[in-house]
Amino acid sequence: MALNLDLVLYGLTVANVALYVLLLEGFVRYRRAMKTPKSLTSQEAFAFFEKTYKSVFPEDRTFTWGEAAAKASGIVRLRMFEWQSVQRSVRQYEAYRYGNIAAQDVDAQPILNLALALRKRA
Amino acid sequence: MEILETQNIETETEGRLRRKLVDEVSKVVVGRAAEVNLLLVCLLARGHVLLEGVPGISKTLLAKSFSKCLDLKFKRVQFTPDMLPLDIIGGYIFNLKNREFEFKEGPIFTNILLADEINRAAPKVQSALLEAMQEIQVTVEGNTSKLPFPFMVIATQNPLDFEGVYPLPESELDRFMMKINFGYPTSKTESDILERNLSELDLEQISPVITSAELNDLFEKTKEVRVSKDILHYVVELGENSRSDSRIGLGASPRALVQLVHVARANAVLDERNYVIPEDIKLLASHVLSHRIRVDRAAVLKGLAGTSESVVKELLGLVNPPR
Repeated sequence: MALNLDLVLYGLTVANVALYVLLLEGFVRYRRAMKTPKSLTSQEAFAFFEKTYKSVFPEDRTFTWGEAAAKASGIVRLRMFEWQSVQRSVRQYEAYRYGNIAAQDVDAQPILNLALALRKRA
Repeated sequence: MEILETQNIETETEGRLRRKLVDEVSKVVVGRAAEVNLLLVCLLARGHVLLEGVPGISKTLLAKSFSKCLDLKFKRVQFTPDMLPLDIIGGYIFNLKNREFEFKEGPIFTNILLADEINRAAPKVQSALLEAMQEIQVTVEGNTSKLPFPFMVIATQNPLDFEGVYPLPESELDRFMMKINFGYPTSKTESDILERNLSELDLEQISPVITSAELNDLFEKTKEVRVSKDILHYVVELGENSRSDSRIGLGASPRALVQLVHVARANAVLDERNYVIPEDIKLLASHVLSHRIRVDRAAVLKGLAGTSESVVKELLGLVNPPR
């Protein structure tokens, strides 16, 4: 059977376009996922950290916030992280969850930064 | 993923009082910061401690130094098989001068009682301690006398002794809020101990670092520590898991769970918090629960379970703490 060159070229073009569309979609999804959320409540920031932590350490299911922050501190690239502010953030959030401070008094930015840094490592 | 040594990021919240006490005891007792901390937690939670360890690892010295730091009265009783309840509690003695029976207080009338080698005493003597430990009072011939406040029993037992000992029954073990296993020191600590012992150890080096007013304040603060429903639910779940685990013959009693919450509150106060966090529970659960649960022997023989301490740690790894 004679090979129809036009048909092959057409097929290859379609496959190429489909491949580029998939790559573009993947890139857009990645960018969307990596985008720092502009305004997160402390609960959302900690939920985001929890999700990230679980994806990095899937074997650790029964962690506390303090344990998670301490374990994250052991990761090589995060050695220079602002751990004191992370710790403060954890303490504030615990004070909100189990004590009596208001949710808006929690500075969740350090934990959000930690979650993003952890996700880059994942 | 490459993980380096976990950084210590807890120092900022470590309580100043806790640090002061540990530093003071460390003048005489080397490398026992964790044990000092547990003793202080237990004292604030109004509980009693069972120290288990071989002879010669500074259990008595630690108890003495601890009470000296807090400016509390301390007495030590060496338990022996021929001991009588009277030797601890005291009794009525006839006074020839006024021809009346007078109550002579035993060594139990103190703040901190070191019951050395408690498992050497007969069950009658051991049970004489029960009322004192539970109700902070003693009753002799129908007359009840209150014990001083605070009152804490620090009992020691040697795990290697099998001859001539009377193992503590579950009911008495349950009276001890915590059990602390005293292991051998690390080689670095041991060389420090040897160096320290080149000159004579002097308890006079230790001075009180917490006044009685400060101590009373801590007791009051402990009562006010908030425990959220999530934390209570977590503790209940731990208890339920200990009872449903097939490797455990006897699970944690409700009293054990109550005491776990109490020690968590005391730990919160020492961390300068007025609320309990799940880490308090995780940190102390092994010390409060391990001597109360009985690991099933068949499970041990089949290799399904190790010591009660390891089983409690596994339980903590199964129950999700609140977040």
